[in-house]
Amino acid sequence: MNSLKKALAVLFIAFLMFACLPALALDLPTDTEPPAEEMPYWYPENVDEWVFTPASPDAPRVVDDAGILSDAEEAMIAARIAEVSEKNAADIVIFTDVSTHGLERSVYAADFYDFNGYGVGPEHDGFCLFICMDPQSRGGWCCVTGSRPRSLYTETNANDIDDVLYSYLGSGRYAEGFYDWVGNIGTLLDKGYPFAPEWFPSINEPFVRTHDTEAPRVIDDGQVFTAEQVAALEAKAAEIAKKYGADIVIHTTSTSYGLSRQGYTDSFFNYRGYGFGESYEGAQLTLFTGSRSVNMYSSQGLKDKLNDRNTELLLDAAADPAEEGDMYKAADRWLTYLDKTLKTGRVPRTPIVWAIRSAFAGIISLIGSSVSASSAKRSMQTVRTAYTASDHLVRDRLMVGGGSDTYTHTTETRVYSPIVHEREGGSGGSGGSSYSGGYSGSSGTSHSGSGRDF
Amino acid sequence: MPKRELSEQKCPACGAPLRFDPESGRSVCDWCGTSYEIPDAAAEPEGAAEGEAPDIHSEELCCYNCRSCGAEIVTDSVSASVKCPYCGNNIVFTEKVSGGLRPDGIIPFRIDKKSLPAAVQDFYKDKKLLPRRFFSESNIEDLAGVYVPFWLYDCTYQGKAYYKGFKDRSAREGDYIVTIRDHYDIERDVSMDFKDIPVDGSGRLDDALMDSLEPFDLNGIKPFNMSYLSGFLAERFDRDSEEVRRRAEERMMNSALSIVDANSGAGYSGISSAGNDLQASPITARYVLLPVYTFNVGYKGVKYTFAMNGQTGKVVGDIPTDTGRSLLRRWGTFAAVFAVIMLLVSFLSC
Repeated sequence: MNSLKKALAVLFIAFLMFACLPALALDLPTDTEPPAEEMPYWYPENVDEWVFTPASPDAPRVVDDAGILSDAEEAMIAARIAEVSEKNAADIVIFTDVSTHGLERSVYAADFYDFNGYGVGPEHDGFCLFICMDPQSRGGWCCVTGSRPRSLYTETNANDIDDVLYSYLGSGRYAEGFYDWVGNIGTLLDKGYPFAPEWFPSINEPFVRTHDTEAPRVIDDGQVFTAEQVAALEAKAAEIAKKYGADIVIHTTSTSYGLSRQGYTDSFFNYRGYGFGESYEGAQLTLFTGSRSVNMYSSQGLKDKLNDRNTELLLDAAADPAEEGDMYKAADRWLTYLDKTLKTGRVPRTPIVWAIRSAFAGIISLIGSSVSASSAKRSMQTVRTAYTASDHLVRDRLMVGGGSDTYTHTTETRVYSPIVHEREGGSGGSGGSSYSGGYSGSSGTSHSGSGRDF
Repeated sequence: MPKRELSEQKCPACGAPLRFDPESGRSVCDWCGTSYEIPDAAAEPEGAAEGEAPDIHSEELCCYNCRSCGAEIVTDSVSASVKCPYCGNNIVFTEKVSGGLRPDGIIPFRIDKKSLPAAVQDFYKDKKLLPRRFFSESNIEDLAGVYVPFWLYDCTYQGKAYYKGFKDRSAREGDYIVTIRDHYDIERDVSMDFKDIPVDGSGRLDDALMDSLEPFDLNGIKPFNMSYLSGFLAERFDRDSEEVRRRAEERMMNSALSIVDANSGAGYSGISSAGNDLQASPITARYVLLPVYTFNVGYKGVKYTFAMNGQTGKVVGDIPTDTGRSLLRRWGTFAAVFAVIMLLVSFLSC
């Protein structure tokens, strides 16, 4: 009788557990489902039954639910968005709110973009910048949709764009930041780099290389040369160009526009009509006035004289005065050395190189001569007091061993030695954004994105 | 000044003086050409003062009468063998090599004095800073073949040596290199024997000069026989084994410690000495005469003292350095190395 009671009790408890489990599971929040709190007006009532409906072209692209923009600012940004979107076949949306309603910023941004039907083309190409003005968690996220925009929005580009954007947002200049951001996204979609200069060709059209014989060969965008210096450099460059049949260009700039410095130098020569003949022979020195550094381009036909080693030496020759801020001396020396290198295949050595070499050779020679002299002197000293008796040790009776080895204690030392991961490229961004190469919103659509607090 | 006993080696055939010939290792008579084997077992010489305790520090002059010419010979207290300055007879003062002063062994001369100039020229050859004229103009003076008194010490070191040791292992943890060091107290049992460490017992010869003549082939030690002294000078010791023992002990201890250090750290990343209690067993010494040529070389009015191992032919001595050659060598090497490096760097940077 007792065992029957026990069995019934067990069955009752099991029934209760099975009956209550689904109810408990419903209360658990998940990544893809909204929490129990009230969702925003645009959020679908039933996410499972939601179907993508494209937004009309007139739907607002600036949705300022946080109220940080004036009407005029909204209109100005919307106009800029319309212009950039039309040119690049991608939607651009800016959305602000004071809460994420319990969702991650990235998911909230993706949901806003997806549930409102934004996007161009079958993959809903576009960018959605979401800014959360929650005082407890102020930050932003840029959600990128579609394979083409996502391929361009690399981690490097994302960091570079965010560096600029969040410097505006951090100082409360929201409208300026959004306006500039839209422009940078436009440049990214057009040229593949967010800060590419005007002359950089579009990635959406085939590039046709041309010869521009009338273009200046000393382009002082960094504004470091006087008119006389420009004239002197131009004359010298022209003389070398004539002598060797190669276009010689000197360019100063304060920025590499987000490209790596070498990439910028190569692009400048290749995209601006420089180079002689069918194979566009020539060489260029780029002086970066901001970082006081130098880079050099040389065409394939000059590689027998301007090989890697000689290129390095030519850059070394120009780098010293450039680092001291004397850009004219750097350019002039580069031209002088380039002339001799193209003539002989050897780069002349700078006085400092000779000095370093001589000092190095002098030190080694001094050590060598001292060793030689002391060796000769030692051979003169044949009378020495004996201090050891190793020759008189009876080897087969030597015993050193046994005894004991007693462990006493352990010490631990920690030396800070960070592993350095160098970032390729020369944009010099802070790299402070968190970046995701692929994630899903509540609708299940794939996105990339980046964001940070401010 | 007391008259003392002496011994002469006479040719049994003609009565002329005998001398020891280093090349043949026999006693030879230069008069009749006869040579004689020197027996290994030699009897105690006539007039030996058995049991007598000689005063080795006595500076009293000794007077002898040459048995050949009857001349009176006066010597210092340490000379044991001389040549009569009047008749050239080889004389051995028996009282200085008998009784308590009798050597336990002797290494006879093996190098003849005739080969000395060639050995000296060889010695000069690899001395790069020797003045050129020293090589050609120097003159060997005051050449003497001397049996020098040496003490040979034997000793055993036993005990324990103590060290502090550690073993390291390192690994990376994020941005840190973490090194774990286990510390140990190490104790090693040590036992080692030293045999025949030579220390000269003559206060008249420079210690460093005598040390520099090593090594002697001590397997060549023969039982003492006065016949080996004929034709050479010989000295008895004037510093007994106790007086010079400290030098032997220092040499042994230096070697013992370096040998123990070198053999105690196997398996450790590093060790450092924490002391030892090595004890030397009672040191034993034996008295031997070793063959040495001493001579001076005069150059520009200065005398340079040399010595040659009479068994192996090794020459040692102080020699002058030519300042000009020294500077030439230093700066010549400098210029040569400098030129080679500059050429090499220029070639590599092309």
